Amino acid sequence: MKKILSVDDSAAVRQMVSFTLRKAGYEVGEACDGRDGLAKAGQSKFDMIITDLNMPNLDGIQLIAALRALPGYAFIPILMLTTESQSEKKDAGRKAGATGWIVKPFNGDQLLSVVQRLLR
Amino acid sequence: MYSTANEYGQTSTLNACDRIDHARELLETVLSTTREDIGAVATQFEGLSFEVQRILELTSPIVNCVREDWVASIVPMARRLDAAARCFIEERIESLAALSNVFTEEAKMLENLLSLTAEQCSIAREGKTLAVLASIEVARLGASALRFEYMARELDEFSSMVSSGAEEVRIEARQRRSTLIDRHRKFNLTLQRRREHFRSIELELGKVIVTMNVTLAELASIPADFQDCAAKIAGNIESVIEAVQMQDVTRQQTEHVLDALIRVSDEIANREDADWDRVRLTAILNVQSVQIDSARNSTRDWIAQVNQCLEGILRIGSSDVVAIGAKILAQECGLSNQLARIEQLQQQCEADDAEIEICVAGLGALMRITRTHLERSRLARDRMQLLNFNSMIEARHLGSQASAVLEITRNISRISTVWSQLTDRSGRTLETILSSSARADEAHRARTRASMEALGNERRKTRSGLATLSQAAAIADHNGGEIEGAVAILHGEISILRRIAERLTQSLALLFEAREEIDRVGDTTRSSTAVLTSDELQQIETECADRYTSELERCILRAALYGEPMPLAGTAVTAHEVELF
Repeated sequence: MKKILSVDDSAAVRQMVSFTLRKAGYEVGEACDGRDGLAKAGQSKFDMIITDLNMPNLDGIQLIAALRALPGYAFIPILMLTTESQSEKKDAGRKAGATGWIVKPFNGDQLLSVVQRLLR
Repeated sequence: MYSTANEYGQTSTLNACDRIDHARELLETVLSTTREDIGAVATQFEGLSFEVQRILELTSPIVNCVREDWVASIVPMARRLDAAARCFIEERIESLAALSNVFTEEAKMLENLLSLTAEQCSIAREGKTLAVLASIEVARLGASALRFEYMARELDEFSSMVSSGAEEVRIEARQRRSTLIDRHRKFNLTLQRRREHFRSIELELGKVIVTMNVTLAELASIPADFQDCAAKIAGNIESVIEAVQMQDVTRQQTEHVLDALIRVSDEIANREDADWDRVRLTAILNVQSVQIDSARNSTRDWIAQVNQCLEGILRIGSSDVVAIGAKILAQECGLSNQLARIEQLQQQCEADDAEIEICVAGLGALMRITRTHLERSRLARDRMQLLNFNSMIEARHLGSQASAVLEITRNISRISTVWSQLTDRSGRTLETILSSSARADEAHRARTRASMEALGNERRKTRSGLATLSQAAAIADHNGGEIEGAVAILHGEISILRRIAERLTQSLALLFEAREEIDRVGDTTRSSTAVLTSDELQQIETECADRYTSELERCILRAALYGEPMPLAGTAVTAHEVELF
């Protein structure tokens, strides 16, 4: 079973991401900010990370850059799930190593479709 | 610090800061309560979704049993059963009524027999008389009439044989006649009861077919309804997922307004009065007012989405789809009862046949006696004819001495002729009895056997055709309790979510009040003459947008500063946008 880490400072959003992914059969871990996300990624191997951009204690861009430096996380898919849609922010995300960008609110089927595609 | 045209100077500044502080308090309250409440919504919603999924899983096997093609085949099957039952009933009633004619014919036959045997007894008495007369003549004529003596004996034997045979038939016939009325009355009562019973079964069958048509039409639509229901649930769930995320957008929007108000409040408290400051702050406050309005509209919309989802799920809980189990159970029960009634009907008819056989068999005894008597009568006829011939020869032989003998001979001849005719009539009467009772019995058996077999076949086909319904009923029975339990939990979860949604609605009033406060501050700071330059507007845009995290906020900012079109309420402008690098 594939394991996905959801990183967001909003507990409700994390719950919705987890709910959507668990229904599809994925195992889901949660982290409440960038620092927590980095720690959890270090403790347990995840097959994908879905992270918010604007978070306290390490934002999404910083988290991605740090994750790419971790062993085993150089190539795993990392999705940004955020309210932001500015091209400058997307560029920054791409440069940091993000695999994709989804603007909130996400559509469940759409999220699953992207996740399935990236985990194939 | 502002210097205003009024005499309240210091007081006006404090009022502005107080109002902004009050607005900030309201916004902070909104943020903390909605954070808690939306978290509760997310948690409760997961439980709700689980129960809904459980209900769908429990209902799905029942729905699968009710395939449209199966349902479409049940109604014709039930109609064939109904037609076979009605045909059977109709033929049964007709044949029973026809059997009633047997009694009428039996009455005629008995009268006929009694009349015949009366005549036969009369002939027997004549024969007896002739035997006596013949004996007297034999005694008178002496030795010359010795050969005539046997004729006297023959006549005597004939008389005894005929009278005993006729008497036997008469006794049997009288006995049957005496019980005929009672038997006929009982048969008519049985017939009447059967008619009423059959009619009530026909009515019941008719009602069952009508009910079945209605119910099966409802059942036929359930698989599609189920799919529709499942799709609606999926849609409802999606809308709640989106609503929870929209709250995150409004949360950020509100936090940014809060930050802006803090900055404005500090600026009002610290900076010296200048017209452009007032105009600038008014513009910034106006942006915050519009942002709050947007947040309020979004909040209202996602609360409405949550409520709509709850209404949709509540409808599912009380829909035909969930109630399908109970309907199928009722349908299966109704049809099984009707099949049992039909089986009972057939058994009753078989019992009736046994009664009818007894009724008809009683005739058999009479027929056997009559047949035996007829055989003897034929034998007697032959002997009489021989006697007649011999008596004529003897009479000739005796010549003029035997005028009395001659007379006896002529009477023997007459008796012989009459006896022969009576014997023929007896034979015909017996044939009539035999053929009419055989016809009635055979007709009854043949007709009702064919329709009973047809009914039995349809009953068996319906029973096996209902196997799927029985299977669905068994599943419904097994899952019914769980479905009810899940629906009850569902209702509980929905009540909790409704209460949370009501609390969330209260935040709308707080947002409104916060906006009012900001607007009042804006009213006091607004200048009727000063206008911001485009550079100043751009500066304000940069200052505000720097902290924004969504395209929605930026669009609202531009709408407030430059008069651009306001984005629609409740949308995130670039929602669902996906880009893979």
